[in-house]
Order: sequence, then structure tokens, then C-alpha cells
Amino acid sequence: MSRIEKQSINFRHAYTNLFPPLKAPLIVLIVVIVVWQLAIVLFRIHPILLPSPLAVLESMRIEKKVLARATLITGAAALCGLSTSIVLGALVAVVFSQSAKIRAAFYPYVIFLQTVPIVAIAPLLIIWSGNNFRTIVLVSVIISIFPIVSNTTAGLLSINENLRDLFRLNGASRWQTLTKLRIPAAVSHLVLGTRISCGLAVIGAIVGEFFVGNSGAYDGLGTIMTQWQGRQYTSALMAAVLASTNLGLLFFGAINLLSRTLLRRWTVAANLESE
Amino acid sequence: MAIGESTGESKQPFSGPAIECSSVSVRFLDRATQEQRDILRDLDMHVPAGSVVALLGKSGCGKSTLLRSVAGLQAIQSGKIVIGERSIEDARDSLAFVFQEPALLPWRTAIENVCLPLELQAKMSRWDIRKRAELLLKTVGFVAADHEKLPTQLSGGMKMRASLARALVTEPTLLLLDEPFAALDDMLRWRLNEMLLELCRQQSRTILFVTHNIAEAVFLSRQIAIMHHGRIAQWIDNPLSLPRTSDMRSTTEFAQFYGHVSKCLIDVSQGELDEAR
Repeated sequence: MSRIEKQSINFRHAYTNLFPPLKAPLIVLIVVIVVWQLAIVLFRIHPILLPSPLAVLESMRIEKKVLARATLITGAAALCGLSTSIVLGALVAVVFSQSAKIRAAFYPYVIFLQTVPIVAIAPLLIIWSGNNFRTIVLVSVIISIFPIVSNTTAGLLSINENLRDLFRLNGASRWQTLTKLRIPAAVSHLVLGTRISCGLAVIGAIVGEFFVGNSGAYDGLGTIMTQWQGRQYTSALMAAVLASTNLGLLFFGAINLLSRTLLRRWTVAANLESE
Repeated sequence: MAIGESTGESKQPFSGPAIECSSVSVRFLDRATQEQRDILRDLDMHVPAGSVVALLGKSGCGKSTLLRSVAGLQAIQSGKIVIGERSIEDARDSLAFVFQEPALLPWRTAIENVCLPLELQAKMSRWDIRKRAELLLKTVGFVAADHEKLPTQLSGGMKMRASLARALVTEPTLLLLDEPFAALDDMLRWRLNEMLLELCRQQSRTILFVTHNIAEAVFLSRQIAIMHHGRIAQWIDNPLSLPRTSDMRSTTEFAQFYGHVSKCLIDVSQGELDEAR
């Protein structure tokens, strides 16, 4: 990285536009909030059914500490889950890329991870792993690993034919082809997969908390959401939804930032922005 | 400017390997029709040591397949290919291949791309590899500031230059080029043609290249092989004097030979039309 044209990395560009253009969606958001507020005033909707935007804001202020702590805990779980998925998923993909037989034998089980209803196996996981943080991370991993494995495997295998010939002509070993060609070529695919997975990792953490969290010692977003649901504390519940969404967005932004700075060399040709 | 000097070559003890192809056949399975298609049919070819041979012919006649077979990238069903008395596998370290696209690794800078073949062969120290790559990039017209640019920051012509430098970094005695400058405009193509001759003048080597551009074939080659239906249909010696210079393109001799080659190409495909009738 150090030798590569530092000046060409436009840092202003790197930090802005981490998300798709925001202007149009922002207008939509404002319109929705206005209509929402109007509807509540005009139709006299009960606050338990639908609190006003202002009430949500108020709950956010009141539950600030609880929300912040819960977001931090869930964020930590999701981050652990996502990191594990990245490391494990990339390793699995590398193994898959080395043998068509291994791929044929194990790929169906990776798809199984994707298709198994996570809520169905969560209770099982609790029996096996206990009412703890580890179980939550495990749920997050199970739900977020598939896009990483499938994208990275595809990246490792879909190598430009000329480049493959070039390595063959120069007598490259299997190891050289893997480290100097396949893995660098797959980085952009790994980033793509991770972008899909970061939302899933948060979902996994919250679902895990739904099942685990009621033990009392733990209070992530999933836990407080179940508690607030019981109290019909709708406005705070909505604030929690917002917090969890922002968590996913934060991960998404972080991945994009990483791909534009540290990983830029490997992602610049893939043109991920148009995805 | 003297390029492609033939006299210099005779002084060299070694002037590149000869390529000997005897009854080479390659068949592909046509996925659409599920039929075997003959791409090369009992092809015989003799490329003299140190020659520059252009392969001309219409699309689908097997030019690229022949080139890939010589490189050992395409398995042949029958026949034999010998490169300077060695088999293709043994000759591999002395040949280089230039693709139609620059085929640079997008995550490597220009100089890192040029270093790649030597890195893979792992016979030299990193420092020596880099020194040699720097030298080659200079000879293909790179300024030092462009050495550290990624391919996405380079123009099409610069990418092709880097690709050429990468092919030459191993000092191959046999250079195979598959329509290397097809994507470039004529002026740039001419400049790179001249540069190629210049580079090969310093070190003699056998060159076999595929092209669709008759002017390129006439300018670069010593001999032109016209392919048709998987065989060499005609073998034409290039009468233009050596060394080739850029102003030769506007001479009558050039135009005459250009016309002759065009006529041969037309005749060859005309024969096919007559057969069809």
C-alpha cells in the first residue's frame, strides 16, 4: 500500500459517499415522518399502536443510557459474529477452491446453513452452548457466513483465463497461484459478501438475544426489545429498531471505508460502487 | 532509426529456436451441436530459427489455437511440436506469450506486474528482479513516475507496453503474440510495432505472432503464413529489406507487398467459395 500513489487516494471521496447518495432518500424520510405525524393527529391513533415521531424521539432521550448500552452489547456480539464469519468463511472458501470434490461434498451443507430457519435451531444451540454470549455470536455466525463463503468461493474460482494462462506459462505452483492470483482476485468478492453479511450479523445477534437474553445478566437490543414489548412500550421499541438498523448501517459503512482505503488496491478494478 | 537489423543477428551465436510442427491436430467439442470440430488439421509448419512469422487468416481458421498449441496452453490430439529440439514442456522457460488484452493483475502496479514472471520462477533476488523490471519499463517508454501506477490508472497503450515488458523480462528466446495491438489505434499500433522490433534487435529471438492487420504483418514479419481451415495454406517470404524503418510504410515496395498479401488472402478464401459452388 505504501508505495502505491498516495495522492491518488482521494480521502475526501473515501469518507463521503460511504453510503449511496443520501439526498433523495432523505426527502422520502421527511415526507414519511410528516405524514406519520399528521396521521396520528388526524386519526387519533393510540400511542401503544403507533407512537408519534416525537414520542419516539422522547423515548430515545429517556432510555438513552439503556439503549446505548444495549447497542454496544449487541454491536459487540454482531461484530464478533461477523469477524468469525469473515475469517471462517474465507478459510472455507480457500479450501473449496482447491478441490472440486471437497466443494461437491460440502457445499450442500453450507447451503443448509443458509436455508435452516435460524429461529428453529436457536433453542438447540442454547442447549448445546448455554445461555451466554457465545451462543449469540454462534447464531450471528450461522446466519452471516453463507454470503461470505459463496461470494469468496466464486471469486477464487472465476479467474480471468489469460491470467491463469500467464501463471501456467511461468510454471507457477499451486501455492503461488493461490497466493498471488486467486486470493488477491477474490478480495473484492469477499468485500461484496461481507457487505451482505453485515446486516445479517446484526439480525443474528438480535435473534440470539431474543432466545438467550432473558437470563437477566445480559441486556442487548434483543433483550430490551422483548422486555419493552411486554410493557407495550411501543415508542421505545421503535427507538430500539432504529438503533439496531443503525448498527447494520455502521458496519456497512465501515466495510465500505475499509474497501476504499486499506483494501483499495484489490477492489479498485472491481468497481464495487456500481453494485 | 534502424530496427530489426538482420546483420546483427548473424553475429549472434544463438538466434532463437526453430519451431517444428508436424501433422498437428486439435479438435474441440462444439457445445451447441455436440459435434467435434477440427480446428487444426494435420498442420505442418516450420518456423526457421530467428525468424519473425506473421500468422494471417480469417477468424476461426485456427491461428490462435496454433499459437496456444506452440505455447503448450492447448493440448493437441495428434502430431508433434518441437521448439529448438526440445519439447514444449522443456522449452517453457524460454518462451513468453503476449495476450490480446494486456492481462495485467489489477492489484499490482506496473512494475510489480513486470516483476511477476521472475517472481514466479524464483531464480533471482527481489532486488535483481526489480532492477531488471525498471530497465525494461524504461525501454518500453515508461517514465519513473508511472512505475508505481495501478493498471486502472494507465491508458490502453501504456498497459500494452507494460504487458510487453512483462513478456520480455524473462529474456525469452521465443516470443508468441496473439493479436497484441488489436485494441489500439493505428498510430499507437505503429509506434508499438517499431518498439517491438527495436526491443528484439538487441536480443535475437524467434517471433510468431497472430494478427488481423495486414500492414502490421507486412511491417514486422520476415515471413507470412496464411492459414485456412486449420492448415497453413500459403507461405510468403517478405521481400522488404531489413532493417525496417518507420518511413518504409509509405514506400511503393511496402504498398506492393501489402497488395500481394491481400490478394493471397482473397485467393485463399476465394478457393473456399469455389469449393462451396
